[in-house]
Amino acid sequence: MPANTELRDYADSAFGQHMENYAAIDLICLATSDGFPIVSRSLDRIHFELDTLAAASSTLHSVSNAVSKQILLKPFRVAFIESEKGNVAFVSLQLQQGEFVLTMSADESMNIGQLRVMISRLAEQISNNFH
Amino acid sequence: MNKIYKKLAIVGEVGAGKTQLINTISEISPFATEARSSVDIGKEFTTVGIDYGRLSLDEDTALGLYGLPGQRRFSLLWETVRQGLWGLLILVKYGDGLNLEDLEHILRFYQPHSNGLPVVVGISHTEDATGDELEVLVDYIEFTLAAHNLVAPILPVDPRDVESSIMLLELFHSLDSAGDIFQQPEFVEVGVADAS
Repeated sequence: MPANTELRDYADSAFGQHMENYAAIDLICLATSDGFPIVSRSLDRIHFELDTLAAASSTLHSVSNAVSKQILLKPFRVAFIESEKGNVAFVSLQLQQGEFVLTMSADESMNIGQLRVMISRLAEQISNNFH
Repeated sequence: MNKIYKKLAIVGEVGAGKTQLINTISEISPFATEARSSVDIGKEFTTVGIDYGRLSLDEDTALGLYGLPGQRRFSLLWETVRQGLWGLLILVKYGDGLNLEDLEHILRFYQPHSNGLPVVVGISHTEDATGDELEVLVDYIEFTLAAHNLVAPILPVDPRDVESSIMLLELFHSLDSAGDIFQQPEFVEVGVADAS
C-alpha cells in the first residue's frame, strides 16, 4: 500500500474516536484516489468488502470530479448519496503522500448538513497533520 | 430528428489503450475518469470510472463509446454498461504476456455468445512484435475465444491512430450488417435446404 504507517495509524485512531463520539456514524474509510484501501472503521452490522468499497469510493470521487468540472468548471469538494436509511459523503484529500478519498456514512438520525460538517472537519484534521 | 444511440463497451487489461482509443476517435470531448496511479502499473494514470466518448456512424446513428477500467477491483462498474450493447471491443496489450485470466473474466461476465454480442479483439503495442510472435498471441486468443464458442476478428491496432482505431469499429459495422443479411428470407431458406 502506498500510504505510510503514520497516516494509517493516525486515521485509524481518528476514525475510532469519531465512531465512539457519534453513534449515527456507520462507516469511515480512507482510500487512495485510484481505489486502494488504507484504513476503515465500521459498525459490526455493516458488511462489505473493503476492496470493493475503496474501488467504489474512488470511482465516485473521480466521476464527481469529472461532472463538477464539466458543469461547474471547478473540481468537486464534497459529494453525497442520500437514501431512505442514511447518507454517504465523499471528500477529496490532497496529502503529502498523494491523493485520497475520505468516505463517511451515517444513519438517518444525522442529516446531510451534519454529515457534511462531520466529514469536512475530519478531512481538515487529517490534512493539517499530513499536508 | 432524434438520433439512435448504440453502445460499445471497450474492455481490456490495464494499459491496453482503452482511454487512448476513446480520446482518439471521440467527436466530443471525452468524459474521462482517471486517477493518478499510486502503484506502478506502467503508466501515470488509470481509469477508475467509465470513460465516455461518442462517434457518429451516420446522420441518424451515434455510437456511445464506454471505456471500462481494466483493473479487476473495478469490475463492479461493468454491470452498468452490460445491457443493450451493440458490441464488445476487447483490447489486449502485446508484450506483457497475454493475461488469460482477465480475458476469461471478461468473456464469462459478458457472455457474448449467449447474448449474441459481436466481439472484436484489438492487439495494441505491437510495434516491436514480429509476425511469428503475433501469430502465437493470436492463436492463444483464438483458443480462448473458441472455449466460449466465439469466433471474432483479431487484429493489431494503434489506439493513438484514428484510421487504425476506426478500422475496428468498421469491423463491428460489417458484423452487424452480416447479421442483418443472414436474417433475410433467402438465406434462411438456404440454411434449411442445406440442413436437409
